[in-house]
Amino acid sequence: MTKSSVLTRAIALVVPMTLWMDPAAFGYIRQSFVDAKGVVVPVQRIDNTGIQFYLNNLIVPGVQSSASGSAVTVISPGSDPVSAVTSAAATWNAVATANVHFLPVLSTARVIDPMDFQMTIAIGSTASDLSALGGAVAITLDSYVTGAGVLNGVNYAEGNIYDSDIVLNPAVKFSTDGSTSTDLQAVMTHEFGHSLSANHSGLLGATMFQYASLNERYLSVDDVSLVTSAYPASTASLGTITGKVVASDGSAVQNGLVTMIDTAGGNVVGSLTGTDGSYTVQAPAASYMIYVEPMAAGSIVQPANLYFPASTVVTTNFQTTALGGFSAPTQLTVAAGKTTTVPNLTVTAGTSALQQPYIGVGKAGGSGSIGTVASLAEVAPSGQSIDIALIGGGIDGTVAIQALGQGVSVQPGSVRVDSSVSFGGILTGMPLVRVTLNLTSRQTSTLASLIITKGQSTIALSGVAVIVPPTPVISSVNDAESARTSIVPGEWVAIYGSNLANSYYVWAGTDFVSGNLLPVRINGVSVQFNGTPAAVYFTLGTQINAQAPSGLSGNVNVTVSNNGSYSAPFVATAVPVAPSLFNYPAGSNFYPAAVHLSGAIVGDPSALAGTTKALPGETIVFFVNGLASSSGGSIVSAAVPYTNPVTLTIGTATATPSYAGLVAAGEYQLNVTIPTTLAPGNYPITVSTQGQTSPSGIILPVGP
Amino acid sequence: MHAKSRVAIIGLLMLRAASATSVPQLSFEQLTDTSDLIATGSVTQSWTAWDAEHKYIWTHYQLSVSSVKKGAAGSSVEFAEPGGAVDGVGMDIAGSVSYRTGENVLIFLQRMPNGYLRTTGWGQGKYSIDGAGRLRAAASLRGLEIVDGKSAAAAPVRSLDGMTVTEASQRIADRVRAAQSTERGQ
Repeated sequence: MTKSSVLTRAIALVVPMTLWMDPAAFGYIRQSFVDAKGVVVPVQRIDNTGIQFYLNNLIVPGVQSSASGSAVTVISPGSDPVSAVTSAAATWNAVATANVHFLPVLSTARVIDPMDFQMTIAIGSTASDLSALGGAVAITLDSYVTGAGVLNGVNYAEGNIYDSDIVLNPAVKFSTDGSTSTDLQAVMTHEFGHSLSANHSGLLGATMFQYASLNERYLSVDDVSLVTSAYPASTASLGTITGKVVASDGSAVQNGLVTMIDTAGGNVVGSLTGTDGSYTVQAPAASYMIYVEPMAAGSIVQPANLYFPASTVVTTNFQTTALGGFSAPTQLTVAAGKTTTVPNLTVTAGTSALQQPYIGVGKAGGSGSIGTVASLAEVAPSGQSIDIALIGGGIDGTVAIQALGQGVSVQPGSVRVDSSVSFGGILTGMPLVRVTLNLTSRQTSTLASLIITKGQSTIALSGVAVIVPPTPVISSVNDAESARTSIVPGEWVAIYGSNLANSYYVWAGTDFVSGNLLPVRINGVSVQFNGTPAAVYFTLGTQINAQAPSGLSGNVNVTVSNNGSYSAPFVATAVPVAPSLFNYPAGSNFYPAAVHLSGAIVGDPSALAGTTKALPGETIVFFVNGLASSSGGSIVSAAVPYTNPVTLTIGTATATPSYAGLVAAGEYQLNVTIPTTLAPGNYPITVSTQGQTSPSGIILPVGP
Repeated sequence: MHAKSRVAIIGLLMLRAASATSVPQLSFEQLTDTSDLIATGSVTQSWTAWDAEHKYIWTHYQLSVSSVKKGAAGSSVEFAEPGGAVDGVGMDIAGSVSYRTGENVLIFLQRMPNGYLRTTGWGQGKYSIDGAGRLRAAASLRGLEIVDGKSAAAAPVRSLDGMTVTEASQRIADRVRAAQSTERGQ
């Protein structure tokens, strides 16, 4: 296509050439564009209740690509990309207040094509892909219609998305097991947000912040509010807050970053002012303070980070200002289904001498212990005190620091310079300032912001700390049916420790949101084996039962994340076979979880009413954990026969099953006829296969 | 299943954010070294078109060149950014930088595999020139961590934000000369 023909066509159609957003109309920071009539139109999905992504079948553990010019292992060998994509989708699906549902990802051989109406996740492979990537880790390509019409047989309204493709950079090393610095699940969670028409967020700790980090696996209230506002569920309980930000002369503050903080409930929501200085945001019902900050020079959020076209006016000559002032901010009540109109927020004129500093975390009240600073949000487990370190941007020991967030406070008198730490490069000679934050123990994640004041200058570090539940600690990983410390791929395991979950919870039907896949995150808890998410059955503060993923062997790093707080890895040992009988306690004994062919439970009625003893010559159905390695994470829709020899030893008698097979996730079934030689009594029972025997301690009561 | 309660505190983990960035931050040196063309000028027109594979829509710009700091260019140069709209189809690629007609810029451009010149580092290579001749960065991409406190480890260099065109030009020229010297010495 020649330049002149394109120019002619462009003029004739008056097509929008760039993307921008109208936060005053839509709140948060959503993708939108200006149509031919000059109207701002939000980009919107119409398949939000059934979003079908396809994962290119080349995206497998260990896949290499030479598309970038050199051979790169794009997915680390120990990673599970399907689980990463599934978990990322499940994170968005779990937003109960939003009507969004990603379907289980399907496999495809197709590559990126924005006109094939198939949403594909693929590694960039062509010159076009590499050019569009331009060095980015990943990009989401949202294709939408700029006018109403029929496309591929579907009626679309202006701004409707008809295709979203996600391109992974073939020069980047992705992983799910922590073996590289780019976490695929976090990247996918972020990119799925773009596919839902989310723009970047001005809150450093939000999933939709411009830089990927591990905490982006988890949505902030800002992310949740955005998707709830864009795709509200019938049960959505958000309220609306609207207001205007003006300068002292009454002129509009355009494209100021607005942050609302519910210091009692932990909700933090961000937005932008529009061209008339107004903003409209939907947020959970709560009481909020509100402040606005400029995208000034030195800020980590700049107009281009939010896809502003060059013509966008951004007001920058004002100080970060809170409604009512930061010392006694005005509290604004947002009620579900209601609109709260906020008085004008008049900003303080001037340009802050402070800029966004680099940020680090160190030991509370101490010195040293700061080895790394970054422009990213910091993750901080609650129930402790930490030091936040700030360097650069004009920060020195004279600054005053205020913390805003639920359960976070500045230790009085703790702002000081730590001269034992210095950095080179651009930070040479700059003082490192520490402040101690006290973090009340909490069960969910929240964002905390810091307000820094020096003389007449004020800046905000909005959402700079992601406060998460106390750190989970794993003390052991066992076979779920015994105290044996070896685990088998596909079997159920019990993880013991502390802070593993906030409450007792057993998976429910609503947790099964991905076809035949078992839930990998319940009650805000997930478990990873060598970085691969595991199916989770129940949670307790001191115990989690999960299904070991397939493919494990030898030493396995097991980690738990509880609502965004990560445990240290615990090293478990995986073996191919280690059988144990599913069992239950009654009285002083453990009995096999076995049933008669009628379905009645086998047991000792004197220990557990309603059970009956096994009879000689009767066929009893037993269930075994770890009989052999099996697939993890999915519902077993058809029984898989187990063909290796198996024997049950009941007392001194042995029996061979008439049937053995995998009948449910991690659950083998054995149909065994009780030897007629057994006299009535209680017999120890074990199961053996492949030279491995189940632990003792299980008693089979034989009647009559 | 056995429910047991065995608790052993083995220490708190302070997990920090991973160092991954959506777009790698470029130091001034990297920005200069990886750019094929660095120039000042004014954007005179723009248009949109599909690329040769009919896969991505790009917004193309024409820059009337005032001065060349690195590389070679005539009186005008064409560059492009992904995203835009053609024939009723809009395409958004998150993070693309845009330009307006009449905008004066110092621009770092990199040749892409498809042959297009594109702003280096997703907007990191765009500096608007204000009326006073000072540069204003378009995008903040400060995502890199600075590691190893107390050492002079390599750290990202702050942008040219706030410099005059003259100051920036001198710095670019110094860097280009240094890079050429290094190449000759190898």
